[in-house]
Amino acid sequence: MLELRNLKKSYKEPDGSDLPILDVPHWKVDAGEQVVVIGPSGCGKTTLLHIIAGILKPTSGHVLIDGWDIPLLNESERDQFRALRIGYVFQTFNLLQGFSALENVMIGMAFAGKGSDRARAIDLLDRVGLKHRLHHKPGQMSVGEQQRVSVARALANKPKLVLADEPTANVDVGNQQLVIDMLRNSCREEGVALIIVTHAPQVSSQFDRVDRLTEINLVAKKKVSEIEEQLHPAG
Amino acid sequence: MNLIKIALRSVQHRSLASGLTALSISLGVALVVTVLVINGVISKTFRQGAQGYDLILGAKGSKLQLVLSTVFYNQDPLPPIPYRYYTLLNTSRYSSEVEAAIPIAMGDRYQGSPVIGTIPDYFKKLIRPDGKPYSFMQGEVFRNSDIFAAVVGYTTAKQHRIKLGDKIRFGHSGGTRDDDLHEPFTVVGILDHTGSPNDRAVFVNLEGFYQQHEGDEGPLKVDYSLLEAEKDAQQTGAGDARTEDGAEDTGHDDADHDHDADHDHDHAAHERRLTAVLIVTKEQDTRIAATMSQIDQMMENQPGVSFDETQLVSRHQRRKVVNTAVTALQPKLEGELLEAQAVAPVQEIAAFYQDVIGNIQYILILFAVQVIIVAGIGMMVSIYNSMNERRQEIAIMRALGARRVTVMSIILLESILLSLGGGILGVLIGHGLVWGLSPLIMEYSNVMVRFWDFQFAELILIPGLIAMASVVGYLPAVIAYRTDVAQSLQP
Repeated sequence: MLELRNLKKSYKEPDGSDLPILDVPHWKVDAGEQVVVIGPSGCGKTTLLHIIAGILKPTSGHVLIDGWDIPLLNESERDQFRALRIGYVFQTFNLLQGFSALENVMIGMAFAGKGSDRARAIDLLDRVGLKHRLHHKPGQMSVGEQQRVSVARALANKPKLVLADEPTANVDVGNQQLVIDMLRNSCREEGVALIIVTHAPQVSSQFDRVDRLTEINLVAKKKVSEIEEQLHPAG
Repeated sequence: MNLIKIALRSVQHRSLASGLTALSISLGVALVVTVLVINGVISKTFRQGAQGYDLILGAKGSKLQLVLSTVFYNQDPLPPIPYRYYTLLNTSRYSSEVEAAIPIAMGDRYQGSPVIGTIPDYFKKLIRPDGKPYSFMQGEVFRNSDIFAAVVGYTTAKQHRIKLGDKIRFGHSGGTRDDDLHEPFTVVGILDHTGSPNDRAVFVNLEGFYQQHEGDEGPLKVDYSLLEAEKDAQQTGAGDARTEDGAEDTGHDDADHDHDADHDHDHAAHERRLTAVLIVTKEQDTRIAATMSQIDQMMENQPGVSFDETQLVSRHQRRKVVNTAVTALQPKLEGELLEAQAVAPVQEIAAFYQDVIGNIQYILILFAVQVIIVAGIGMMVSIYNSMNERRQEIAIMRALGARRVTVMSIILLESILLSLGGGILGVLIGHGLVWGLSPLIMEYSNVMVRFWDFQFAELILIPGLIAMASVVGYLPAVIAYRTDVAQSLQP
């Protein structure tokens, strides 16, 4: 379903030199699979998700989703691909403040050009326990409820893949498990692959497959080795 | 959920800023609408006021003053002309050109309203500015024998609560001071609303008007030396007119005419003078009849031709025909009646409107458009400033799959919605303002302005506002277009 090949991403430093962020020789996620990617801050987790979603373009390499090589698509095609095939759950929810819960779910449908399926949007909000909050705006909801809206929004266009970036980082402890359960159950019901990026062990411990970015990403691996060497010099 | 709804939600989310922006647009639009509507009202007043007759025969001097004083009663009348000029127009000498000649004498006022001495034919042979015959709300026109009878215009009657049978006094001082010395006039008719300056006029029997001023030092005092000189000129220039003078001196309804009064009248007529004579040309009526019959034929043959189109054709033809008649009669009158000039009010008013009032209104409209442009720049600044706090919102939309062009369109749509909202509010405010001022407009111009009296030019406002919104929304839209999604999504 998802396959990364020789994926590299680097940024230009002010002095003109390259700052490598990602170097992933190969990484794969099957259809419907649920994977947790863990790693320390700054090891390129969000950058990896942005590249998979087509928000960022890699410096080189391939991102294959259902046979489509995302970096080869132009920006407009990537936007359309993201709208149709990928759901995104953000760490800070990123709901649109002027829109109700229902509208936040339906707005993604508008961008996908599929027309607004109001019944599906209501059904999804019902599944995350928010049927009674359809017309409430984000400011009128708790953080847990807001993240549940963003889970429903991620599934609105029946994507093939949902990317969740630290989905419980800003949610209170009481709601963390609820959000993870809803995310996993919803993806399972819809047959959607799920990649959660987190550094929370209580989240990663629940998944069968846990990948360390320090193993996948050679840049991160090298950084970790250098830090360890500085902390524990050989000899 | 479509893009318009998304843009609308964004506007609603910033309701205070959006409201203030739309309000600033609306004030500019209201100003334009007010200018346009008042422009329409003034235009209508001026152009309609000059209808009903084709020429004004008056003293030599400013043509414009003659027209403004005769049609709108808002200038001092020019010096009077000999009464026999009017008599002459009713002779066979002008019978082929003149359909009707109506004398008027002015100079007095009743409570500020102009008093016009005239004959009953004023209401029978002239038509109202709107093309309809004169009609009476109450009573009827005075007869020739009703020497001290008056007909009051709609507005004056309403303003002073005048009713049939009331006795009114007037004079040079406007119905105050020594007017009590004059004979009172009995109100025998109150005109329907005409939408013309006649609404605030008082019409009295010309004979009564003269009798009131006998021995008076009023504006119509006869200058006998001038009259003698005029007689001499007539004897040499158009002597034949004088021989016909007595024979055809009517212009009055013979059925109503008392013989003794007629005799006295004839005597006095030689000494009397008039402010002006209103002339309806004959050619106009025959040619219009032909035109109307052609139009009837056209309507029968082409049922698809609408009534409005026909009216336009008719008006166009009428204007053309009147001009032809006026062109023929004007030099003849001025050549023979040495002390007078003949002026076509339609032409004078059109020229005055174009040269003076049109320019003032053009400047006012330009000023109002500037106000809208300034409001538009204000809108651009408002949206531009909001872009900083909206970067994340735009990035979210992009992350959800919105294309660059889509977010750009949303910002442009917001700009258009704000402009249109402000525009609609402005149109309502503008019309509300004019409607609120309608009693005042009615008082000064005699034109009834209703809330829904839209001007055709207002239609330009809509595409104009959309164009302006597209221009002022472009810069913020470009910022939205260029938003760096990954950077803006960072918490």
